[in-house]
Amino acid sequence: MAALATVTDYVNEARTLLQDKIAPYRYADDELMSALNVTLLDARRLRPDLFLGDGTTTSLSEVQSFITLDTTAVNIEQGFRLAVLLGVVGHAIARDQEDVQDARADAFLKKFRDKLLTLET
Amino acid sequence: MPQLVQDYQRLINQAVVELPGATDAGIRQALFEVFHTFFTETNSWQETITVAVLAGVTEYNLVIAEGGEFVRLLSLVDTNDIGQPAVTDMVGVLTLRDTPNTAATFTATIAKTIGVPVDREGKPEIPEWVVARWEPVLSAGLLSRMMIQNKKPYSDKIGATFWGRRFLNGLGSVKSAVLHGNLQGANTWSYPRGFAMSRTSQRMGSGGTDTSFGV
Repeated sequence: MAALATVTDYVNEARTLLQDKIAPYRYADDELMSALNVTLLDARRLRPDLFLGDGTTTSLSEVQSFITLDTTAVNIEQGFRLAVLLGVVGHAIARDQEDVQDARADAFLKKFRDKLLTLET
Repeated sequence: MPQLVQDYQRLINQAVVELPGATDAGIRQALFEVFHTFFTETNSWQETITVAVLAGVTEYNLVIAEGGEFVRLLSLVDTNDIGQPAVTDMVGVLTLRDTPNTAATFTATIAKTIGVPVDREGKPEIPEWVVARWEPVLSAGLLSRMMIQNKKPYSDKIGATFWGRRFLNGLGSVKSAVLHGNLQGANTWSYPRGFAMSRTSQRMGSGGTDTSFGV
């Protein structure tokens, strides 16, 4: 199975980038899933073609949303999964109150947007 | 021999290579528009439909049996190949100008275009031959359609213009091939003279009796 296929994959990979691999976690599972949900909403705004489906049925009006950490598939084309992961990390860091983290969150969120909209980074 | 699924996938793969940052779904969506323009502009996808005409009835539904959506009526002839004046609306309802006196069998030739992006098996609902025969034209249209999009990694106005011109030129070649019956050096095939030129056709869209092939 390809990388970053399920909700659990995203949460685990996000924890790696957040350096939050050892329980008790700084970022709870539901917080990271919430970050994934809003990242998908933002991806829908920037690249609606990611949500077109197979052409016969379209999921444009209903973006996936997750509340359970399991192996549910996150339907994003393989080439754009890293962008979504970076968005998840950016949204997670953005909730921190330390000033230094704001710049880090912005950097991740910028990478998320750049990977969706440009060939840079 | 055309292999629709493989030819179609090759067309998409080529676009993926030439359009970094494009999604498969986005390419398929754009390709649907390209096919739609291709068939609508060229009349290259045709179907012959038998119409059982009844005495006193002037309206008939043209029922498409081989997939696609109705675009326009190209000709309507009776059993003696004599053109019959008629018009159609946008969805393929045929209206005869003259009310038939007796039952007869007419033959309508229509142009069609793509109706749904893919069928239930995931294959595009297009003729087998189209991608194999006109791949460069379709590829040009696809690249133009993708590159004209705003704020995408593959946005390229200059490229869109270049490929757009190639697409339009290609459509001209396809139209020419259709008009010449896909023959080298042949005269332009014309529908029955009266069909194209008579006052009847100007008023009703179809008509005349000459079925010759002429300039």
